[in-house]
Order: sequence, then C-alpha cells, then structure tokens
Amino acid sequence: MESIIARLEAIEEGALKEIKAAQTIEQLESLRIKYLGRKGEVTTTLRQLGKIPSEQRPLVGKKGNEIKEKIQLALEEATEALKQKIAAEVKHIDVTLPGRRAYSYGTLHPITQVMREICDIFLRLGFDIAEGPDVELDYYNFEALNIPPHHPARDMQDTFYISSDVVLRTHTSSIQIRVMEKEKPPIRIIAPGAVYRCDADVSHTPMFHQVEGLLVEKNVSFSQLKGILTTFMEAVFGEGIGVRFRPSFFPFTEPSAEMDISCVICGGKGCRVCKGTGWLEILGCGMVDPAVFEKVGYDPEIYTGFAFGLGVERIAMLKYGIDDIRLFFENHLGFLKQF
Amino acid sequence: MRVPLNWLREFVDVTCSAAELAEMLTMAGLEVEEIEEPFSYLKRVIVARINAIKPHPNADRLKICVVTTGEQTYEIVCGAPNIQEGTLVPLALPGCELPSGIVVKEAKIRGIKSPGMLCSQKELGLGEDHSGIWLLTKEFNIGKTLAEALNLDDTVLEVAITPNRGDCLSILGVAREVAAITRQKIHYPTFTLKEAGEPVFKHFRVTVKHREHCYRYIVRLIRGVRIQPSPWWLQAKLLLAGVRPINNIVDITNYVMLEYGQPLHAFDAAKIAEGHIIVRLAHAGEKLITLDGKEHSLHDTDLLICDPRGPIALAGVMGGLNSEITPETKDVLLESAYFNPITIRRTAKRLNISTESSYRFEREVDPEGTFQAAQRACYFMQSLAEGTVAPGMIDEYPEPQHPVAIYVRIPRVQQLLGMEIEKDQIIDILQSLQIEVKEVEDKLEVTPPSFRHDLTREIDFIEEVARLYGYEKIAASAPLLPLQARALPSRQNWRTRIKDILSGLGWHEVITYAFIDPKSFDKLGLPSEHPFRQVTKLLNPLTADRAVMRSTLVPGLLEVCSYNHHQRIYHLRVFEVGKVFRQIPDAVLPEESYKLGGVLSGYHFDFSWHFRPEQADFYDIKGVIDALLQALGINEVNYEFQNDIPYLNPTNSAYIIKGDKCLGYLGEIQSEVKEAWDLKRSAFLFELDLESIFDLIPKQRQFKPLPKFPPTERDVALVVPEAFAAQAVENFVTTLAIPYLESIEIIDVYQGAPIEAGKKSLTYRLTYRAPDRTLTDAEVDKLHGHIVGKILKNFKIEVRQ
Ligand SMILES: [Zn+2]
Repeated sequence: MESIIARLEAIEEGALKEIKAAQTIEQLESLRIKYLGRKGEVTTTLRQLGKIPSEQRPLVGKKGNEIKEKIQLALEEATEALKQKIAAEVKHIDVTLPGRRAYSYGTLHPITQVMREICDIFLRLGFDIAEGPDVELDYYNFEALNIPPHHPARDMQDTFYISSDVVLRTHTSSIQIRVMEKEKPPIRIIAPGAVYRCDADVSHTPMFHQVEGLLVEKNVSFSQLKGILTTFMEAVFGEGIGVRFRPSFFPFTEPSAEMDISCVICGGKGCRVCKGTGWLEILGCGMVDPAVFEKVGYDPEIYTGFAFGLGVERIAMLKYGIDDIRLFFENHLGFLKQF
Repeated sequence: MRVPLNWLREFVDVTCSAAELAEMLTMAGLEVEEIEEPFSYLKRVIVARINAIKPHPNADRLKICVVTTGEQTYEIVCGAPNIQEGTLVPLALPGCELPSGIVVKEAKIRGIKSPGMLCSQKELGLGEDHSGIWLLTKEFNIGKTLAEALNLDDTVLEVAITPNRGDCLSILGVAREVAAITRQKIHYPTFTLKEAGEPVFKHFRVTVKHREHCYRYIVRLIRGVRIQPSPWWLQAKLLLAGVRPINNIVDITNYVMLEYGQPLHAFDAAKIAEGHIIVRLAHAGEKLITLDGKEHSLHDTDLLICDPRGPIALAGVMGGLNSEITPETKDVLLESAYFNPITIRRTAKRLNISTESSYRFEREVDPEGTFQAAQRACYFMQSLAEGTVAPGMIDEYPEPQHPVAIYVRIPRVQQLLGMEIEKDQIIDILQSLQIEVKEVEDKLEVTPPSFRHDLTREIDFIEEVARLYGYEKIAASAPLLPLQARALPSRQNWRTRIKDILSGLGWHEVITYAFIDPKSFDKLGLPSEHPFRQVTKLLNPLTADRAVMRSTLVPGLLEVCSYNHHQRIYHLRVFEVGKVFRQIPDAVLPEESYKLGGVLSGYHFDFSWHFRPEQADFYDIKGVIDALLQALGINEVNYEFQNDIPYLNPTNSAYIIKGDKCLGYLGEIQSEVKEAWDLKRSAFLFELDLESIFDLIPKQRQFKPLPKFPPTERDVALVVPEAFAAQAVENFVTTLAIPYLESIEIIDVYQGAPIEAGKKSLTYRLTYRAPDRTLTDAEVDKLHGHIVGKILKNFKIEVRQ
C-alpha cells in the first residue's frame, strides 16, 4: 500500500513540476493526457487498487482522487495564466483611437425637428398637410378671417406690408381659407410654415414658424377641440403634462381659447419663466367663427369646426430649454450641433 | 388695464385674495398679467416731524434734523433749503427702494451717521416737485407709513383686455365681470347734482354735421370752477391706475374715464367762439395743434370738434391747445361723446397717436354710458372744483341705439360645446351678465346690455355661456371622422428627404430670415438687370438690412458663414432649404419657389488623426451635389464652366446642367464677395433650384436583374490638353451606345513628367459585360480597341505610351 501511495505522491510531484514548466497550451494538454488521460499515469496507478487489500482501498482511493483534483486544478490555473500571458503578448490595435469617418453626423435645424414632430403627431391623427404663400393677400390673412380693415384686432399682430393689400402672412391661418375655398368638408389639415411680424427682442423675431390646424365636419364640438389638443400636448411633452383652457379672443374663432400647459421648468410650482403662475401659454384655438364659414361658402348651420395655431419656436424653446429666440436664426454651429 | 383692488371694491365685494381673484378673472378671459403693489416701497417711508435742526459739524450746506415718528427719534442729515422745525416730512428708512432704483441705506454723510433720508415728492415718485423736501400738511398722522397715509397701500391687477371687450376698459367694467362670475349685484355710484344759473343752451349749441361718425354728443356746462390740485384720495387712485395727476378738472375727466370707461373732454368754455360746437370732418390740409404741442396736417377722414373759427380738438383722440384748460379757466364745457370706432382708429393710426381716449373709442364705448359719465364728472366738478353745474344738457343723439334681441337655441349650445348643459343653467349665466332673457319654447330670446357691442349673434352668447360655465368644466372628447389616408404632398416629402440626405452627408441645416439686405445684390456684383434684383419690397421693414424678400439663398448663407467665421468656426458645411421670392411685373403676388443652398469652408474632412488637414476645394462641394443627385435618382448630370456668375470664381465654378435645364451652380466664392461679407477663409457655395429637381426625380424606380456573368475591365490612358473636360469622353462614349459596355469612369488624372507641359493624362476604366455569357478576352479587346479608336479620332488626341 505504501508503495502505491508513494508512487502517487511521486507522480503528483512530477506532474506539478512539469505543469509549472509548460510554455504552451499544447504542452499542458499533453500533460493532462499524460497524467489524467484514460491511459495516464494517475489513472493506470489507481487501476492497481485491485491488487491491495480491500480494507485499504478507500484510503488509497481517497488519496488518488485528491491528487487527481490537485493536478486538474494546477492544469486549469496554468492554462488560464498562459492564456493571459499570451493575450498580453499579442500586438493588437488601439481600439480607443477615434474611428475613421470623413464627417461627423450632420444635424437638422431644431425648428425642422420640432415641426416634424408636430406634423407627425397630426398626420397620425389623420390630418393632411397644406401649404400656402408667405407673401399673402390681405384678404386671406385678415379679411376672410373676420378681421376687417380698421379692426382693433389688427393691433394684435404687427404686420409687414408689401402694398396696401399684400402682406407677409402674420399667421398660417391664411391657409385655412385657401383650403376651404377649394375643398368641401370633412376638412382635416395642418398648415406649417414661416410667419412674419414686425417685432424683435429676446422673445420675438421678425420671422418665426407656426403650425395651424383646422378640422371641419358636422357636429364638431369644443369638447373635441379640447380632446385633440390634450392628446397632442401629451404626445409632445409627455403624458403627465397638465393642460388648461381659458377664454380668449381671436376674430376667426368663437368661442376662442388660450391653451396653457403646466410649466415645464418648475413643474407648476411657479418660477420666473411662468411668472409664478405655474402655467405657460402654448397655443391659441377655438371654434371656427360662422363669419369665416360664410366667407368660404360653408353653411355654419350644417358644419362646425375648430382651428388652432401654435408657435414652433415656443415649443422648441420649452422642449430644449432655449432662453433666447434669436439663437434659432443666428445659426451658430455650436448651437446647431446640439440637436 | 390697471385695476386697483380698493377701487374695485367700491362696486363689488371681493372676499378672496388678489391671487385668487386674478385666477378667477384669467379663467373667465380677462387675463391678469401681473399682480403688483406699485407703492410697496412707501411702507418704508414714515410720516415724521422735525423737532430740531442742528448744524452739520463738517459741512455748511448740510443740516442735521432731529425727527420723530412718535415712537422713535432719528438724526437725519439733510441738505434741502426748505426744512423747518415743526413741519411734517416723509422719512425713508433703510431698505426702502425708491422709484429711481436707489435703495436707502444707513449712511455716513461727511462723517455723520444718517439712518434714513428725507425725500422730495419727486424722489418718492409722487409728483414733479424736486425743489425741496415734501412738506406734508397737518392732516397727515405722524408715525403712519406714507403708503397708508396716502391710500397707496393697495394691490393692482394688470389685466389684459382683448380687443372685443372694450366694455372692460374701466373699473366698473371689470367689476361687472367679477359680479357676473361671483353672481353678485353691482353697486353703482350714487350722487346728486345741484344745478343753478342759466341753462347751458342759452349760450351754447352743438351741430353734428356727420352723424355717421358721431352717434352721440353730450355737452354740459360747469361755471366758476377753481383750478387746483385734486384732493389726495383722487390723485392716489389715479396714481395706482397709472395716470399722472395734473389738476382737478383734468383729473376728474380721467377719473371718470377710468371708472366708467367713457373718455371725456373738458374745454375752456370761454375759448369756444360763439358758443357753437361743430362736429365735422376736416378739410384736407387743415391744421390743428394738439395738447402735446404737435401740429397735425389733417385728412378729410379725420373727425374734428370745431367752433366757427376752426378746429379745437381732434375728436376722440386729443384736445386742441387752443381750447385747453388753464389755471385761469373759469367755465368748463364738458364733452361726453360716442364716436364711430373706425373713424377714431383711422385717425389715431395715421397720426400714430394712441391715447387712453382713442384706445377706448376704437373699442367702442357704451352709448348709454355717455350720459352717466357726464353726470358723474359734473358731480365731481361741483364737489371738488367749486363749480356750479348749469341746468340742462345738450344731447345730440338723433338715432338712439338699442341692443337687438336675438334667439339662442339650447340644442345648438349643447352641440357646439359638446356637453349637456341645462336650460336653467344657461339662463342663470346669461342673466348674471345683465343679459335680458325670455324663454320662447325651446329657444331663449336674449337682449344684451348696451355696453356689450360684441354680443350680436347666437355664437356670441354661446361663448358667454362657455366662458362663465368654465372651459375647464367642459369634458374633453375625441372627434369622430371617417378614416381617410392621403399621401403626403410629394414635394414636401422630397424636401424632407433632401434634408435627411444632406444631414446624413455631414451637413448642418440652417434657417435664415426670408428678408435680406437690398444691398446684397451690389455686394454680389450682380448686373442691374439680373433676375435676382426683381425683389418684393417691404413697405415697413424693421431695419434697412432686412428690407426685401430674398430672391436667392446666397446672402443668408454668406451671413451664416461670416457669423461663424467671426466665432472662430472656420470648418463648416451648412445648407438651407428655403423659399425664394420673385416679383413678377404686374402680378399681385410674387412667385414663390423652393431652393436648396449650401456653403462650405475649412477642410476636406473633419479634423482627425486619420487625415491631414487639407483645405477644402471645388471637389468637396461637387461631391455633395453628386451624392445628393444620385440619392434622388437623377443621373447624367453635366457640369459646365460658367463665366457669368459674378460672385463665383470663374476658374473654379460651374453650372449644373441636366439635358437643357440648368439645375443650379456651384463654385468658389469670389474674393471681392468674400471681403464684402468679411469671410475669414475661402468658401464654396452651391444653389439648386428645387422645383426643377423635383420634376426630374423619377416617379418610380425600375428594378434591373442582377448580372449573372462576371465583368471584364480595360483601362485606357489618354493624353489631352490641360483644359480638356474629362466628362466629355464619358459623354461621347455614352452616345456611341456600344453593346456590352457597362460603364466608363475616370480613375486617374496626372500631370507632370513624362507628360509634356500643357497636357495631362486621363485614365478611364471601361467595364464590359454580357448578360448571357462571359465575354472572351478577344471580344473585349476588339470592343475596347473600337471605342478607343473612336475617342482618339473624335477628340484628336493620343493614347499615353
Ligand atoms: Zn414655472
């Protein structure tokens, strides 16, 4: 018995020595076969167990297994160490250097991005896109929208004039009329575009962008106007956004409303941006005034509708936290690259 | 409209806080923009008495005043000449921020501590007097704050009144709204007049020549007034409402205007020739000097108040200097009128004068209110100016205007608002607004009060119902409309696509103003008849450099380039998709079309360790156009030298041609233009006509089966003159229509030895392929030889040996 144990210990000593000296994965593999393989030294030695008295077998068997595990462990550790050593020696590229590209990504102007987002929401709701001229007849910009000459409502918008009856459109509401003149209800359009007002400071630029919406059909109600616009604001600013509607005045809608959203800066607690009210004015809307329908030959007894107009810059400023509207038109590359 | 709350409380009970009231008004359509306490700083100013005056040890002109507020005594350094022992003075304590922005501090003045400051009327923002410390009269209670003592400790709401609600341009008007919202009764002012002397029509008469411009004209006469400052309570209310007190007569007209919303005018009765007031339109060219000292040349659309000698006031806008109230005025002729809003607005707009009066007339006053306002003003002139009201009143009101009754249908209200509101509720709301309501079957016959000009149609009343019911209480719902899907308008679609392509190519989109500087065209060196000069001009530009609508995107892009260069950003590539405008002679509206423009400066590539930073050139910008046109499916585009675009370098620029159509141009910016826009680096630009491009985009793409057999390539190097256009060979070969020739492309351009000077070598790669078999070398050699022969013959050039 002693001889078998001595034998095993000798094997162990030799194996561990050889494993330590191995230089390659292949050498280690052959050592595994040499010692632990089916015809390996440990295996063949243990096969001789039959030759010793049965009461000694468990002891020798136990010793044999211990040695087997020791060698196994030493092999695994050596393999791992060798793999790491090899990995460390291989010459690989510096993957942290910047990749090769001729240009970094380009960007769309934030106004374009917000305009697209707005249009996409309404397109999903079944609205079509309509367009119209920027240089517009006074008739489409004012008169047909129930704003006759010498009406104080004209003070609400400082107008650029081209001639006594041609203006730069002050809102995209002018497109409403052009569409209704051509088509019969049901009408469901949005009209995006640049608009112009004679005004310039931190919160006004002489050109800015609007999206106007119009829906006309039988039985359209103020309640539905609230529904559509609430859905829209939730899509733009997230479901938790608070909204409120309060009475206002636009010559081409009645009842008219101003829509506010809960302040995105302070969450409604009141701050400098919302002047402490917790609310931000976001768009004007209302039920289409019967006088407008009469201008385009719709019978206001049959059809009702609603219209709304929202400022794209305003939404972009709130969305991105931009505090000066003029930045949109300076086109500083550092500004453009942020969007 | 500024609404002092204590003034409002005279007519209606306000039990809630200012913030709650503001919220209530805002949610009823009278948006409160600001809640302020304009005179809160007067809470740090105390009525004090000067007990003693001591000399200042270090300054002759300064004194030390020992003042007491009753409880406390202060030693204040003061330099004013008018201080006397025993007088009452305003003492501003440290922390008080005066209207000038100065914050009173405990200061050391020439070595003596002064824990406060005695103030003049002007320093306190309460008058113009700056001659000395404001000496307060004995009625002031020592120790009180000036805010309390002057009735100025009030909160003011700044209410934005929409143009349809002229009736709310008064304290009473806002009070009526509060009363309606809170369902209260309003308390109208009560007062009695004592009349004496000869009646007004004994000495005065009124002729209204143009009734369509002046619906009602009331005149009352008040004799023997004494012009003096108004009592303080009245001045305080004016100050809170933002109106400067002047003298009792003028203050009274302003006060009643603020209270009732009816502008009034007071003439010096002695200055009206023959006691005859004539209301008429001006004669063209007639002149009038108004109260502000400005002379106006009048049009025949301006309404005037005249006497037989000529104009004495610009009706509804401003009085004339020649009939002004002065300290010597004895008798006052008071006007309370109702002018046509359009007439007043036209004149005010044309002369660019906006007064409290014209603002209200433009938004319509109450034709019935003219009488009450005149009575109220008479009452004050009697009680505050020692005047005697002459019996009688001249009232030119030939066609009394009565509100018209109309019908409101309950189902219509419900349908339009989209809610089930009860009839009783509707009636209650309408009545709260002083609208008379009669039930007629399922309809309501409604008559608005005389001050609500805006209520003439059923929809107007429906809005009132919604407004007072509360928009917030109307539930939101979804419209039901038939489903219909329509494609996006294709041009809009392509504009979107083009922006995506260019941003994908590393370009940044910009948006520039659609109006540009008319000088741009000279700066670009354009000849006088150039089509870009056919611009649409603004009549009222904000600034001279944004005075015409752009006919090209180039000036805007150069401005962006210049702006960034000045921010030390030299490497940039930006583009814009935008409308341009072209004025067509005799057309009302200009022609609008979309263009795509871009500008590039800096290097071939973004800075990185991979590439050497080499200056960008023509081919960088051309590469972008190539990529864009390819992405849009527009092939076989030619580039032709140009020499008539003055802002591009002719050696380095080209027209972009497809067939016989010019799609645009590209090239390097001329050095003069570079200087004109102060660009710091050379730059390249392009401009494409998107409308032409849209026409060329293939409507549909056709799939070609993929080739089954391998291609064979053959190269040929040609020696050509330096000026030879490489594209010519490609175009020529294409016209030959050689079978199995799949493509020809240029793969090398070489100049230098051994090629002789003045020539260059162009190497083309021709690819051959048959759809049904692999071509043999012999076949390809034969084809290639044939093509090369044709090229050499056609261009009279040689193959490089
Ligand atoms: Zn806020």
